[in-house]
Amino acid sequence: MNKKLLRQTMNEWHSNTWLIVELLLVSVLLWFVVDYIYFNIATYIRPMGFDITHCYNIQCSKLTPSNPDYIPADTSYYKDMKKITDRLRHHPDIEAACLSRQAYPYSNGGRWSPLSYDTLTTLRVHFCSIEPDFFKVFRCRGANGETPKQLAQILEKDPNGFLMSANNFKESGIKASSLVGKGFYFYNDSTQRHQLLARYEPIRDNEFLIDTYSRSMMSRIDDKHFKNRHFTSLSISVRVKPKHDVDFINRLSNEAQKSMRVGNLYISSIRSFSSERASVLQTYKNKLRNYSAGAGFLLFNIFLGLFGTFWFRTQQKRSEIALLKVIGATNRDIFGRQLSEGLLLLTIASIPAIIIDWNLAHAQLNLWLNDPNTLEPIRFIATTFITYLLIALTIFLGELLPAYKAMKLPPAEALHDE
Amino acid sequence: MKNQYFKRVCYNLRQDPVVTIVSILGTALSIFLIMIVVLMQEIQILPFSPESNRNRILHGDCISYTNANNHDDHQDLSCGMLSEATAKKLYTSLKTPEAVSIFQYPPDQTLISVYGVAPFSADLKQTDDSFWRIFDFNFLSGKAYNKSDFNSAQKKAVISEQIARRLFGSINVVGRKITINHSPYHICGVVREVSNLAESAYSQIWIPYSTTDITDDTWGAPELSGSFSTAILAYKKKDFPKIKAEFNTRSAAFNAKLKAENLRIIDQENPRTQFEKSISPYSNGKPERNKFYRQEAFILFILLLIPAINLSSMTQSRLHRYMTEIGIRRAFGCHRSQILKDIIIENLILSTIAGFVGLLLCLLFAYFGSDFIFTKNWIEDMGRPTVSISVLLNPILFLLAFLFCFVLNLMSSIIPAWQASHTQIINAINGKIH
Repeated sequence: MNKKLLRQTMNEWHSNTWLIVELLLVSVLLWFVVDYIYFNIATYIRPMGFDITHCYNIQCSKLTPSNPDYIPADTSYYKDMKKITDRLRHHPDIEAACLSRQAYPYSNGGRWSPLSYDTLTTLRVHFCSIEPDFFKVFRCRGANGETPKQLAQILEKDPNGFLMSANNFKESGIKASSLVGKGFYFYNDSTQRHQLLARYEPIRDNEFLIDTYSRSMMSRIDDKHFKNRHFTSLSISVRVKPKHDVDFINRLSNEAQKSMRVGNLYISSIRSFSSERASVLQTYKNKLRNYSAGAGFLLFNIFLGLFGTFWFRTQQKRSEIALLKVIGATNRDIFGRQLSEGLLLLTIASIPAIIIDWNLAHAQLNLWLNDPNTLEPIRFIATTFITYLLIALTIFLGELLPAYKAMKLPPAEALHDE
Repeated sequence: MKNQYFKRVCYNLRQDPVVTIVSILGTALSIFLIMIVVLMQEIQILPFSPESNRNRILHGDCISYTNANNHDDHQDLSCGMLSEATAKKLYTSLKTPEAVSIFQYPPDQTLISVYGVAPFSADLKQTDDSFWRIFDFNFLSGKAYNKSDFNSAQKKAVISEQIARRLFGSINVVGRKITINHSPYHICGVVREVSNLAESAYSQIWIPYSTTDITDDTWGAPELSGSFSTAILAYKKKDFPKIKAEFNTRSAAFNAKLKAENLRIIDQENPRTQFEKSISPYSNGKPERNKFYRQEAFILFILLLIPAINLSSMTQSRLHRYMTEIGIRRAFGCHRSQILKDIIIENLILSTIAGFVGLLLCLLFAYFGSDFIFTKNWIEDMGRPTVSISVLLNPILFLLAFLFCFVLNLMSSIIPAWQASHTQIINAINGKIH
């Protein structure tokens, strides 16, 4: 049966060329899209290292000199911000609050520089300046199972020390846990030593960032080198007690007008972290939308192509099908034969397609997931398999109606003309 | 003769409804997607209120600067929006343009309130008075602040319709008080809601920047960058090279002064046209035109190629039916080119119908689904990417749609038509295509 099918397909080579070329092209393009989506899902489901439910981000602004309440004597906006944070910390609805600089999740930026210990230097890591309660607000966990509270206490004890994410020094071959307690230096300045106090689970700035961008360190925020006009780089993050997290933004905005003004600073914006997240993820979502639309387009074309061609062929081969039926083919045989023809074409087209895919991955044209190599066995097998499956399913759907029509063909009537 | 083509199309439709409808669907889908791709780009360039002057506007957006000794234009750059001082030195002093505006970009979210209404956040943009000359807002009541208001730092504010309704339940609110940044402002005008696709003009509240101390928010060595962008309105598009030339002398002079501070600015082809801005919205590099054209061409090529292969296969199927007829026509002396032409024109009628369906779908989708397809990458503001009907009915879009139809038709029918017209007469009469 299969041999016969193969021969028949070869005999119809001329009319199948279009289909095979189309299947080949679509296979390669679709594989690229599938790989892109696979990459994004694989990145998305990795642990984030923090928890932003019930968390809010608060920004402050300052009064202008023309304002009647302006205090010319107010000199340290850093201290004002600290005071506002303290007030928030004592607010009955709030579980934890912290001041930080270019550190909170989804902040999308900040300072990046290498960490150095002895002769070892890391890749560039995200330098975060925080108050110890940062760990409590975002519920970060230590690499040795420390609770957020314990991490906060560790940083509280030594104002000159720092913590780093557990994935630093991963490539150096050294056992990173043995580095705890050692003295490090920053910004290539070897005169100042800072003790590594503990390590925490890596924090990724957003769901679509790969590991390389989740390397960070946390040190205590201070007002060294701090200029008043740069207070906008500071922000306050708070965690609200779950049962009080109803209409929090409106309630706090109302209160803030009266009781949250310190010096010339006042609370000017309160945003939930879920909306910060949504706005950062939009770029990735837009790209995924475009790629998925592309995949849909490719598959729909396959559907139309197969449907149109096979519909026509069924009409053309009426007498042939009828003859098969007359000599004893069952409805199932006819149906199966029609369906397997498309799959055979796909399999033929898939062989060169997979070779092209392999070359594309080998040329590093896709996105990096783990290390600087986009040709990973599991990823490659999974994506080519998914691609094949998707097209096979579409072919099946496209051929369903023509095959059904062929199956229901009344043989006597079809052979009447002969 | 022409009538005959239509008759044939109708006959086809009756004879072979499924295959014909499938080809129409395939073409329509292709044109639909192609036009969506085109529209996603065009929406950033086509003029619409309040950015009706896009054809005459140049944008002076970011500034890149580096160490004076660093002669590499790509390495170790700092970049940011402009400070007021930089904007004035580089742009406001230009003589060729009709007007130059300095305005905050992007807008800031700020808490606003009036007595008796709970405070809420809105987008606030601080501008100068020329802003209102360059961008044509639709005022529902009142008017914008003018030069003397700006110079004397009058606390006046223009607000959008939606904000007016939320605060006061009405749009006739000129003269009413509103608290912005803990300071009282008087409303001087109410404008129709602005789509955030009009990136430069968009906000919900506009105030003169002379009323705040935003000009103090500067970064970098001698106050090079800050929170501002500029828009330069030329008298006519032809003036662009002249403006750029004038800008170049300004930036050279500026660089000469900066040398004392050991700094050098890199213009990155600023000021940029609307098109140049659209292809490199955030970058601190030069607009990469070639990369953009390559990408766009690749996408459009794929969107044409795949359906073309599909349609070729179906056209060939359809032609099978007419091979006998073609053979007889050939036997009676009809020229091959005539047959080729007939098949292509007949196909063109079909694909034009399909293309029209595709374009219509695209426009409907763009209008009702604008939130889905035009969402900006970084949602920095609280606006919506609404699209007005006037933009969608732009003749350029119709022309492009027809052009793509024509190309798709050629791609999909030329090979089958060539084969059919070059078949041996005897084979054709027997209904064979090869």
